[in-house]
Amino acid sequence: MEDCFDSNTPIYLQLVKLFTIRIAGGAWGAGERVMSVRDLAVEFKVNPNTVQRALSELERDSLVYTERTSGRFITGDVNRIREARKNLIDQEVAAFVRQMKQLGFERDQWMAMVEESLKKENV
Amino acid sequence: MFGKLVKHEFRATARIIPFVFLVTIFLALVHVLTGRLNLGALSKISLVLTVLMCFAQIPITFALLIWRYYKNMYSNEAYLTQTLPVPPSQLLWSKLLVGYVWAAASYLVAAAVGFGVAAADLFKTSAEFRDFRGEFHQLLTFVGLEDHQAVMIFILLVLFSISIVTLLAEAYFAITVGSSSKMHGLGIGGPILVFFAEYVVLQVVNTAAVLFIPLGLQIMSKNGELSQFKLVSQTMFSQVMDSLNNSGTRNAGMDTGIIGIGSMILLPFILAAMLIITSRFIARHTSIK
Amino acid sequence: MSEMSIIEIHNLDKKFGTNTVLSDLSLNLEAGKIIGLLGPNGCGKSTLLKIMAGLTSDYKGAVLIDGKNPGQDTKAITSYLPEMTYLSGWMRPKDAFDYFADFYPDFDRVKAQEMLRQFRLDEKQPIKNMSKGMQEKVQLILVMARKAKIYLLDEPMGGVDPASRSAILDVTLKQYQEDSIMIFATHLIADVEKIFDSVIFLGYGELKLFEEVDQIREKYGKSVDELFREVFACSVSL
Repeated sequence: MEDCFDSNTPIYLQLVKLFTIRIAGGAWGAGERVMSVRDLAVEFKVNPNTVQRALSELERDSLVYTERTSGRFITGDVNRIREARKNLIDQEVAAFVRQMKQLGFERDQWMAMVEESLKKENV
Repeated sequence: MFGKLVKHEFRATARIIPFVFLVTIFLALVHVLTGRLNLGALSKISLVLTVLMCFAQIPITFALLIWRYYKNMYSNEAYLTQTLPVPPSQLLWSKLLVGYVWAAASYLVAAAVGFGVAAADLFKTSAEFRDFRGEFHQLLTFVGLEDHQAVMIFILLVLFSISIVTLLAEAYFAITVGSSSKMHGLGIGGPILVFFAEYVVLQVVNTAAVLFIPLGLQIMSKNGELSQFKLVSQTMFSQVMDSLNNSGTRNAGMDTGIIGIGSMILLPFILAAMLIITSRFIARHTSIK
Repeated sequence: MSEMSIIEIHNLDKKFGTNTVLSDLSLNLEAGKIIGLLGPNGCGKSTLLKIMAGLTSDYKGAVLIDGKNPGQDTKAITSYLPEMTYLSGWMRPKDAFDYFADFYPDFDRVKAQEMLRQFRLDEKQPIKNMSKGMQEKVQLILVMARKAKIYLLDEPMGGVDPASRSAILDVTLKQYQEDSIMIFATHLIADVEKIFDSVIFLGYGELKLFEEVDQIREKYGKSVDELFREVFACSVSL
């Protein structure tokens, strides 16, 4: 877990992305309670205040909300989660396309490679 | 907290010091047993060893106590000892107390083993032992102390106790001051240096006290025999000067001398000063490497 | 949001003989943070920690731990882990627990025994029969089983294998409390920088930098490890 951090962007931003992936992908279900700051810090091997900051960002993004007496929860708003998922996919696709262009591939080429790759993995 | 410091100090030192006593006792037992079993050579060898141990036991005990103080206060263990939430003076007093107990025990064990072996060897029958007691009693009468056995023992105990405390205080002072911040670069040389300096200073101070403090024991002898002694408030120095000036004349057969005992009066103050200074150094000038 | 500093250092100067080890150091450290104390070896990190722990006196300037000078009161709330083994060789973890329980009201024996189990160490094994790594773990347990306000850790991952390093980081993070401060001196920066709120760069006694980890990444576009290598121009950072 600790290995998936790069070294020159702020850690809290990287946490925001990691948490968003978990929410978007369903690993953290809608409406579920969020793990405690301490447990998240231990799992990701990062500073608890940094976790706090990342969670605050998620609150700002309406992916997470705080109930004053009971704690933090993932939003129950399924549309919002779908939206987050779409954003993530858009980002990944854009990055992929950029990479392919950088490598000098044309669209037909890399579309074919994607099909082939999917067939291999039986997806 | 003080009680806990004492408890843990005993726990740590009880692993080693009693073993020294056991060695002495063991050798004594070997000697007595081999004697009873008529194993002559073994008995003699073990007697020699026992006597050696009786004498060596006390310096060994002191050496162990002093080493313990250094190790626990200024070596690696200092990281634990000197971060304890206790008043720094209690560190000193607890070690002094426990050190005193072990040193006193060492004297007692050495004496007990010595007398025990002598008794076992010399008094093969209880009749001989009664004779010895009789002779010892006569000796006391001669010196004029036959009624004061208890007082004599008490004074002996006090003198031993003071000498134990003095030695420990001198050692702890040297180690603490020698390990303070200013002496940092010298390592183990610091305490050694301080000890020598301290020794010299104390000798000078004590000599001055003996000579110049107006309190002495005046001893008068007639024809070479002790006739009386009493306390006088005259300095030994002045008496020495007097006798030098009057070296020509002499009272018929009477010799007078004064032994200054000012150093004994000074001793408690010196001890107190050393211990207080040591305590302050622990509190204010610690520098653990 | 500004909190009261739990540790304040004002113009701290420390010399050993003619050797200046700390020079005009001033810092304000807040509670609820994990601070990395980084610098080349022999540059004053250990000395700074020792001064805070009350093991080194005779310095110039002021050091205030929770408002007080280092002494009996601050020692009661400070838990210090030095680099070396300070336990007597004959002691077993059980004896060390007895000792700590006697002198530190905030020592949690149950927690200590639990951590001992997690590290798979034997309560009855004398320290002298343990490897250096095991000894360090025992001492770490003693420090972390206390509910102190100040934790001073001097190279806690020194002689320890990578798997154990991970375990030590876990213990450190689990120990985090909002009203405590943890100061972690290390030269294994890359492994560890993510757990710090802020880092202090100490270069030959002088304060070179005191900055939040994420601020460093935003400002300089580098990790703390990379910045450290630049600032101290060393070719090898272990």
